[in-house]
Amino acid sequence: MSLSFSANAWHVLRGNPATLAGALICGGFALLAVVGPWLAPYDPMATSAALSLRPPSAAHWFGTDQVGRDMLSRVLVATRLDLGIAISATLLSFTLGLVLGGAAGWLGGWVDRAVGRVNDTLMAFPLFVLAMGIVAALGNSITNIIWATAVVNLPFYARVARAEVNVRREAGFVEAARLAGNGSAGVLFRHLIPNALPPMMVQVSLNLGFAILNAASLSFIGLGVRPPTPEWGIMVSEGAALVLSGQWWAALFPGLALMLAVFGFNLLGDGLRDLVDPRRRT
Amino acid sequence: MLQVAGLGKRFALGHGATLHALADVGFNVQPGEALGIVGESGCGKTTLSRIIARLADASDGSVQFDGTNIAAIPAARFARDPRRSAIQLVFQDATDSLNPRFTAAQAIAEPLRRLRGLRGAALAARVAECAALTGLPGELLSRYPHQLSGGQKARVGIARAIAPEPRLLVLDEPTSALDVSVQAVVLQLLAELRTRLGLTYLFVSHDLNVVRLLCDRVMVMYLGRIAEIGRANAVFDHPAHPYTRALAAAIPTGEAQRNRALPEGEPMSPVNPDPHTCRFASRCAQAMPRCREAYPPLLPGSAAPGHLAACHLLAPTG
Repeated sequence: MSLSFSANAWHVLRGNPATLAGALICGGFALLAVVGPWLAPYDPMATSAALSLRPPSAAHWFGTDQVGRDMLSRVLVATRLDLGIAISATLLSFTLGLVLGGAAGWLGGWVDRAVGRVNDTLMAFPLFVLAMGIVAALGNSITNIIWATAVVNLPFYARVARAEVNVRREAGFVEAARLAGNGSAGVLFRHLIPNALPPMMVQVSLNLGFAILNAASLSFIGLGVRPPTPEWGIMVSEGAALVLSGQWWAALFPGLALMLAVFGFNLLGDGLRDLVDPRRRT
Repeated sequence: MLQVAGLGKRFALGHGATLHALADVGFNVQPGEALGIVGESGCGKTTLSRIIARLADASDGSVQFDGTNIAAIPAARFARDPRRSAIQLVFQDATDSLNPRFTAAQAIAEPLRRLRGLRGAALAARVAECAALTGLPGELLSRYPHQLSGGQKARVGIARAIAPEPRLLVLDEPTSALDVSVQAVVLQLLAELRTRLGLTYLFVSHDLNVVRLLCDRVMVMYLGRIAEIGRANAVFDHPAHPYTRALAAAIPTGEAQRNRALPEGEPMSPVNPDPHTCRFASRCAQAMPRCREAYPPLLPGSAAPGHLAACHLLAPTG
């Protein structure tokens, strides 16, 4: 299985141009997240009254903002923070959702009811309002943005995991696993949870896009990352006011980066599922 | 080797209703023997096989395996019992019984890892050995279940069951999900494995011809109770219970069939059954008033030793 992973990944990508495009976009952003600070032509924090609000030019490809900071450098440097928040939040809700949903689907009874009610309660709130509430209550820090984004997404993962585990708990291969000497935990972690992964991966790809938007939106309304830290949501927020006076570049470029990242994650979609589903292999 | 006594299984349905899936089932199995268990759908065959394979718990009664009452060990704990490898089961639906994420080799290896602690080269060698024993070509071992045919999946299921060297193999209609052409081959394989590995079989089936072919003794069940038990020849050639006679008459033989005594009427409900009524009485052509007054005990069904049937017709006084 490990032997064929790269071959399988290539097979999945070649068979699905949308996934290939998504993988290229996401790969590009991941690369920028790593090397962005070195690629940035200027210090993203350096202000200059003389360079305030310059339109895009050869020296400043994306123009400069109100206090004269280079927008290209700021967009590049922000990649690491935005992607980091989205990926940490998604990993967190994926893991928690898998454990909670898996336990609910496998154990049933009161565990199932308790997890179900928590899910229902979380889903009763408009997601963004809930995230706002969490950050407002816990304080304005990156850790709290990650937690807030993870918590609002948790029910989606928990539901998928619960359903996937629940439909298979009576399956023959689960009984066979018991005959092979697996205890309850062995059956759950070796047999049921791996089978829940393919639909969970679809959720991951949709969620990465949502998570990045959620974090940027929190920053946009002033509840997220604080200025002057370079972050796409803040930059769009700061630039939004300037669009009316004709300085369109301050909001456009961070907005484009945000849009492209969400687009890339969503394109990954089914490909990510096919990657973890042996039934797609031929 | 196996002594089952007074085995019962009840499922609470709520509102005071109880489904009696098994009641007072008792029989012995000698080492190396093949006991066939036949009966129609819902007669408790599968429940019985699951209890003996320790996948389900009995409501009452005992299952002595090599002198230990394994029915007293909860099914959830039996997975880690040292006797786990001694009793294995072959599932009815091979497709459903294989994890879609495991290759054939991984499926066969799992009981060897968990129950036998095999790793590395020893594990690979034993997997290859089991595949060879079941006639599974080695190049198929790296395939996933969806890349295998029905017959190949059945072989993987059998290889996995014999891998930890069980002594008792419970076969829950192992061929019923297969094409007729494949069925014969798999049955042949099971017959060979039994003599080759000295296995004891508990063979659950609704196909009487298959049971007659493969089993030394037969147990006929009706609505969770034993209707008749004995040597396969005795039971099929001289059926003593009206239900067995009906079953035997229903075997397609290819000849024109007259006088087919097929049971009429509705089967009794297994929910809250009257313990003082023969469960077959509602469909029995020879039912007498007594059949609705007392459940018949197991009585000698013919001169053959060990041939018993639960029917009042066999009582000396009638």
